[in-house]
Amino acid sequence: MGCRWAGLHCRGCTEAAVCVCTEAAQRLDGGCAGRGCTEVWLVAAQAGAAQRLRRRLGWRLSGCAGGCPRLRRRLKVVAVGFRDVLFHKSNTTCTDTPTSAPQVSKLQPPGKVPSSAPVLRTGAVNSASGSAYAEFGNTKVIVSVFGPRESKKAMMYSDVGRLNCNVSYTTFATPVRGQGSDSKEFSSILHKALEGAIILDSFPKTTVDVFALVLESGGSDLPVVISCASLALADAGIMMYDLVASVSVARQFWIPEVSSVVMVFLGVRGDESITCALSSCLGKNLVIDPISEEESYQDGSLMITCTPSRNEITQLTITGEWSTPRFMRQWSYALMLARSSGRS
Amino acid sequence: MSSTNTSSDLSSEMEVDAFRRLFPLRFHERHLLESIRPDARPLGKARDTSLALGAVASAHGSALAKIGCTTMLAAIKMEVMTPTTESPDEGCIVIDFHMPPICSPIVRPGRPAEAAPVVSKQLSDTILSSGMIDLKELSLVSGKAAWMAYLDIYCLDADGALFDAALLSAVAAFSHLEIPVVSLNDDGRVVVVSEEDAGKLEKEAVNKEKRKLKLSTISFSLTCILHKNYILADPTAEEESIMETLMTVVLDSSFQLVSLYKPGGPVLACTSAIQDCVALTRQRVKELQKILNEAISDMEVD
Repeated sequence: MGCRWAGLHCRGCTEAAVCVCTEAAQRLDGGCAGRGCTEVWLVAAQAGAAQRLRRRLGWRLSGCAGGCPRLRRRLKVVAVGFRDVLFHKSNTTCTDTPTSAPQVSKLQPPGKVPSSAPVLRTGAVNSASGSAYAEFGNTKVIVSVFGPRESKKAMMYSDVGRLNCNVSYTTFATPVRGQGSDSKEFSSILHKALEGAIILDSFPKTTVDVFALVLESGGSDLPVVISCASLALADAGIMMYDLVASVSVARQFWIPEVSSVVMVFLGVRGDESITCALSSCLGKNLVIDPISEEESYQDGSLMITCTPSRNEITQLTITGEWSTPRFMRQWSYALMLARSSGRS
Repeated sequence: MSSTNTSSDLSSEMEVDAFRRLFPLRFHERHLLESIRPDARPLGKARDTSLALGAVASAHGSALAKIGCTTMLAAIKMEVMTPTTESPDEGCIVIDFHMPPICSPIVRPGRPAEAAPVVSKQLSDTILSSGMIDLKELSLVSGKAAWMAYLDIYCLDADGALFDAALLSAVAAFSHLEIPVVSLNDDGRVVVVSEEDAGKLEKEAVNKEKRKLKLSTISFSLTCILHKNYILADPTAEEESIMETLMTVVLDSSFQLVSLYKPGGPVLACTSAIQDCVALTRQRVKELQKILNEAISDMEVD
């Protein structure tokens, strides 16, 4: 199976990849010279799943004759891969598995293929009031929560509780020793992400300490830290409005031998309803939950933290230029709902 | 007198947890009279120990050791450096012990724990002086390039006997270590060959394949608490905070004494107490050797 578009053959597709042209895609990407010849890749685990989804939505399968001249000029092979996010209808867990595409094998050195299922566990640290351990691919994080305990004597009296966050890296977390230099701003980002969800009135005059240690950094560190921290707070019995879950999306300039538009299908909680969101950028590719190599190729990113049951966003961080921010938000948001419903 | 009377009256009415918090020493002594400890261990028995090698994929050698609840993660990263002129064909090992704030309520981000530099120095003295690793094995090109091994040990959960768990994880990390392949690049410098390029190597590699470090003798340790005439092996953090006299004995695999460390404390150790501690350590070394060998063979099977 391949996409014949500007003479490219997708040698690296997974078992089921479908190239279609859609009217909708043409409207959104705004300006493809051809007759809506924007490719959409549906990546699924098995050929059967792709067939079913395709039938369900009634997509037409057609090749893009001629190809888009604009894109043809910009084609360049860059060794970047992407990870699929698969949602199984039967159970609500979400699994990240690397594609079987050869692009991915270039990124993952032999012997370092990440385990496929994410791990989230509470009670990792016995000395703490609450703790959690999270492992997503190669990113491993431990978070401990202490408290509510007495505030430092220097602090003034306060009616509401205080939250104190600290994120640090081990020296061996990054491939180059001692490079966890972003950790200062991560502490304040974590603070802002969590403070919206914690009921601070429930522990006046005292402080809750949240300490995170990143054992190994494989990309998307901060979203994993935030999600793990909310789980640790729940384990400690701190009153919260809801758990928070976080996801990040990186935008890359291209993807080799793969089309310009990525479509992700989500199944939510076993219903037949499928939420799908399209990205609009022509020639750009969006990678969900990027690994560190994918992050190094990014030219824009979006990180969103939200509370799933209440549909509220506690934090949104965007870097780079985004032409249709509504879209990105919708997509990430929908993704994150599905993920957090899978997690908690 | 009256205070002890009132406390003994109170003690009959109080709950166990409250008594444990208010009169910790009496709580533990009542257990010691029956030759048992609050977690149902006999006096000379250590807690359940487990070991996992290769916990961290980004390091060249790593191990996670757990003694009871005390958890230590050790990882080794190798870098190429130029050796000193006094010892041109020897590499170097740098050992560092960290107690991050997650491990215990006493540690705060700005203020490192008191125990951390003590254990760090103890570890580096023990490992370097025990002769476990021959530094000449870490040499690459005599006088020009040698390996610098950075061993970082992080305490993930501090529940007593920190030195024992740290030494166990360090030793296991060295057993797991695989020295990466290097080659000379165009400038005549030795660089580490990354794994992606390993297949298409035009330059000749200085060492052809990854090799494991040869450990001549492996040291294990046991920390004991001396209290009155009791000897408690492998204390928990609660026991350490109440009964303050600790003694650490380090033996190597042929049961020779590598190090004996008794940093003061209210109880003085007589010869028989020291001999008893060494005997307990000897038993513990046998257990730990078995655990380490099982962990290594599990790794090899994988």
